[in-house]
Amino acid sequence: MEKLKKMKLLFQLTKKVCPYLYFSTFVTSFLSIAQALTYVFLPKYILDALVNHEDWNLVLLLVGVFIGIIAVIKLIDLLTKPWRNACINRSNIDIVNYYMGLAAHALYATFETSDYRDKLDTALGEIRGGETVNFCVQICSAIVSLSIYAVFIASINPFLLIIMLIIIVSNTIAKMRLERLKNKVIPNFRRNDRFFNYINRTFSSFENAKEMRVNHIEMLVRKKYDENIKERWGLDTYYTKKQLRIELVQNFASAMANVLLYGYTAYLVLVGSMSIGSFSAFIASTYGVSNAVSSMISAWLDMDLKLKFVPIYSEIMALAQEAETVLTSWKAESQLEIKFENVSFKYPNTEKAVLENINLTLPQGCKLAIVGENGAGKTTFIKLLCRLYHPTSGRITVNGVDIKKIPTEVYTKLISVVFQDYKVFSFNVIDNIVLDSEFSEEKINEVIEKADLTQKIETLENGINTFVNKEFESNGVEFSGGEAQKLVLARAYYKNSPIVVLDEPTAALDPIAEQYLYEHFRSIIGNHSAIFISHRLASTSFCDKIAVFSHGKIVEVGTHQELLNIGGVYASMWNLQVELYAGKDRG
Amino acid sequence: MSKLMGKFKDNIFSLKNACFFIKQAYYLNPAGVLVKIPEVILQVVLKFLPIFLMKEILNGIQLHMGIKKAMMWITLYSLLLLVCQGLASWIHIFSVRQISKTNRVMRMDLTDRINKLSYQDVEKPETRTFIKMLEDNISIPDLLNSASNIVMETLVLFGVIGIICTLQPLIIFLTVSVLIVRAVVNNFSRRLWDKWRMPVNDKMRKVSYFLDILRDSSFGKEIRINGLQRWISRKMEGAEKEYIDTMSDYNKQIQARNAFVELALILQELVVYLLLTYRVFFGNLLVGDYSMYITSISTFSSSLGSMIDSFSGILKAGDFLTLYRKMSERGDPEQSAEETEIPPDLVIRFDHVSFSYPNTSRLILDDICLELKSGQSLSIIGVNGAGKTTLIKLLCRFYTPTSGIIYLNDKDISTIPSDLYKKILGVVFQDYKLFGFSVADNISMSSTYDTNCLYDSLTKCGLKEKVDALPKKENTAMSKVIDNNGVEFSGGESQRIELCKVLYKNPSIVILDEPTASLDPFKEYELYKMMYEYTKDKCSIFISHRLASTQFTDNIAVITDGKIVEYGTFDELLKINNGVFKKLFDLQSSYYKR
Repeated sequence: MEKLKKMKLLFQLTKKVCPYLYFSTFVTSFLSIAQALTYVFLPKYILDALVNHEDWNLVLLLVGVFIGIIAVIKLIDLLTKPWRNACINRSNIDIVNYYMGLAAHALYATFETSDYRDKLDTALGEIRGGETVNFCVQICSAIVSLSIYAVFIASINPFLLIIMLIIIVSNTIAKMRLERLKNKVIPNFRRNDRFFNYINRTFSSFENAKEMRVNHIEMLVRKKYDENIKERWGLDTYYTKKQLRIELVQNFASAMANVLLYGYTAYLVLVGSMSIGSFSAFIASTYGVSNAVSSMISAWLDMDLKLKFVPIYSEIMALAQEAETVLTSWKAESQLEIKFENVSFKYPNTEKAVLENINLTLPQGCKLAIVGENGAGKTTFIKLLCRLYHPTSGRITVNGVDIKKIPTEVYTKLISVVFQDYKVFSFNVIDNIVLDSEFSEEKINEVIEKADLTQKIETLENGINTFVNKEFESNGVEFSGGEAQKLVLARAYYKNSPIVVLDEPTAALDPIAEQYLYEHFRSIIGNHSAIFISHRLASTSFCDKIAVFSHGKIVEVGTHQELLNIGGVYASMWNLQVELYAGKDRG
Repeated sequence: MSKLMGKFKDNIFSLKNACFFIKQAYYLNPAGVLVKIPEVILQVVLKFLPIFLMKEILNGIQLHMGIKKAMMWITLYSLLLLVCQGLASWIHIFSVRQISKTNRVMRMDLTDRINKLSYQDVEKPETRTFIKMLEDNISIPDLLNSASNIVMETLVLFGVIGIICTLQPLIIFLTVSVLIVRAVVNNFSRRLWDKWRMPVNDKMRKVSYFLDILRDSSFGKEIRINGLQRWISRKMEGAEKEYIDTMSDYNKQIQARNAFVELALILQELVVYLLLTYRVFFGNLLVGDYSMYITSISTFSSSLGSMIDSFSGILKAGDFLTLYRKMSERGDPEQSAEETEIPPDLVIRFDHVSFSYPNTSRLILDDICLELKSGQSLSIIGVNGAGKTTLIKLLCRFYTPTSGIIYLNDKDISTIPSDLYKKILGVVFQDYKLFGFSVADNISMSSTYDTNCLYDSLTKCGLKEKVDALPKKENTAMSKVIDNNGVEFSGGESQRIELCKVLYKNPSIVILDEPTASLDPFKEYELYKMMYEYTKDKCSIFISHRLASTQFTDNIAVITDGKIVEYGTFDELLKINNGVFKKLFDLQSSYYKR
């Protein structure tokens, strides 16, 4: 991607997210230039008036004007600072919102990958919307300052300008070399820092506290830190040595040029072509010019660096997909039949098929159990149904309509899922159960009872208004693993969608709670359709149909008795568990 | 007045803690502190050099010295500057390297100390706040640089005040007044920050929460399937608005106070300029000296500002420095090295052990009496919250029993040196987490590993083929977190790696807490078979909800409400009519009776 295109993207980003930054940054810059120029030029007049022994009242006036201008600049600075800081704070928030919006529209199959998340983090860290603002404002300010100084220096003697130019050029070369060096080594430094942060977090975090205390892990800790320290030492040595070489050359060139410059101007003053005031202003100008050039080069190099990250930003933008054309008139009927028609799926940029030629029909009210070994494709099957993934080939239909075409607001009401890695929000119990639906006290109490959560809720001081976890409220209550699972079940029950999917819902439940769920499941779900994934074949006792997954294919489908009769995969799994339990039954 | 003394004492206390911090930095990496001395000296010299030389040149020009003399001064100036800058750059190399090293060495030291804390201590909110501070807001390099900056700027201030002294005593009074105004405002700023710190951090944390859930893939599923984007957005906007408003209010108050400082500084400049111009005009002050005084005043302002900023930085880290000192001053626990031999036959005995969490009254464990010998295995059964995991935590010495003692071979386990105890105990916790390091690192948990032992344990857990097929075999990283070439392991595979850890360590006591939750029936069966074989000569405890597995252990203990309500063999417990165990077992097996 060429640089101009990248710049254009950055400008568009600023315009979209934080255009107000232009004005606030301009004000900051203006104040800073005004102050710098005042300190360079006004003292010159005071000094000249003093040396030439002019009228004392003139001197007083000049001092008054000088201090007065400084006071005014500082006043404006103080008055506008809250507004300027607010702009910066707001832009930090706005850029985060923008990126989160992009992430929300990315395909889940992409979003799930750590690759995407790394890219998102990088983009969020490097491209924050203010890049073009800083660039433009810095360059403009530098040009303005330089022009003013150049005019002044030229008015003394154009020859001086030429010498100044030489100094500027040598500074620039040194700076560019330094930047190139920095860019070369930065990835290594970053990697070293990342590893350092990782071992800090891992070895000190509370979640690893137990592991750290039952194992002799000191040697491992020491080894990892030592590795990191050694690597960093090497990187620092390499970088700083090279840096020193560049700086020494540059310092030497500066020194030579300074001798020339100051010598010549001193000569001019001594022969009377230049006043002492101008001399002192000139000295100050040289610093001013040097700073302005420095700032311009920095702005340019910073932008160069940022441009390198633009492709990542552009990728994140591209991955935020637009929804496909939808049938706005589709309405869910009371009888829903789901069909998987020759569905296959593999992850983007991979070869291996995770699901192959899945054909399955789920009539209204069917309770389907899905069993199979780990990695067989059971959870992927669910994710396709939820439209988290899209089939690579084949299609999934609801009453004959491809689910891709169903409007999102409608489809999200059709399915509830409780995944194995279910999550509880740190909001209150009501929010966790009701989410964004309408709140009905009767209904919520009903589902709390269905989910066997009444006892827990009764122990809470604020009842269903109690916050879960202490994130937002200090009197929030922690929910244990089993309690959290029941809360999420209540959520699914409340939504009361035509299709309910439970993925290993009893993993954290003890036998009694497990039995409660099995016993009441059919009555809770009613005549809605349900899909139940579990290792524990006990769950198949209340399901109408069982699908056995193996290596991404459905190898057996049928009722419990039918599958036993086949004597295949299901039968052997069943017999194994029977042997363990029923075989030992002495009762 | 006493309030002022109180504040003064507070500041002194913070300073003392800061000094302790520096002392520790010196102790851990002396070069890091020593290199700062020449660095600071050069920085101070570089600040004063231009001032003095400019004074000489300007005075000389005013007094019409010859061009030769002018050139001599200018050459001298440039040369000195060159030399000093060169030296400063050179020292800087060492300084940067050393700061990196000190940072890492100090952090390693802290990690060591944190891990030497007892589990109970690490659980305390104080410790967790400390750890969070380390992760989020505290930068050790920043603290060290702030400290050296304070020293440097203080020296500069002394020098500048010295220069100004030679002009006029009145100016001293003025500079001191400005110092006082600055100090008062800064003190106020700090008090203000103390008041605002909680709400600001609170609001920031809430906004961060939303960021976290929006980046999380598990939440991502929930949000997409239920179409919660707008709902979350609205909540997030609320939190964001609160944060921005809070920051605005805070900034406004800071600004109002800063206005006083700016006013004082402007007044000071006015007075100084008036005084100096008067002296030049009506007195015999030379231009060079005039310029020197002007520069000194502005250096005074900037150095003062820089020093106070650095100082504020240190004060803001006050809490951290206090906790740091507490953590570092805690002595290392006694390591008595009498017994290094592990006896072949072990007996664990719970002698009337009861436990309730600190500051609570509810008994989690109530009068537990249990005995377990080497070569015996025990299943612990109970509903969630019955106390099973707490029993394990007591055995791991994370907590001490509220009453009663746990004995190992008739020795109170709290008296056994931790080195020895760690060798004896092997645990797989329910909420284990694997590190992003290599497979070998994760299994051996040490800096070196025995290849044969490693592969032996991998084979037993059925993972040998998988590891052999990895690009770097056992040196492959176990996730992409720190190494892009790392390989992700599935839930079931991770669980089996955890078991490999135990097999590799070969401890005398083995504890497994729900070790097969993520495994399908076949793998679960294989694994249990393997574990029972392996633990034949050991003392082993298994916690599981899947009661079928209990038939392979020698004994079963059923825990309800913190008490052992049933104890015996599988057959014995099934014979108890209306027994807890029988009820639970019948429940689970009922599904398989069709």
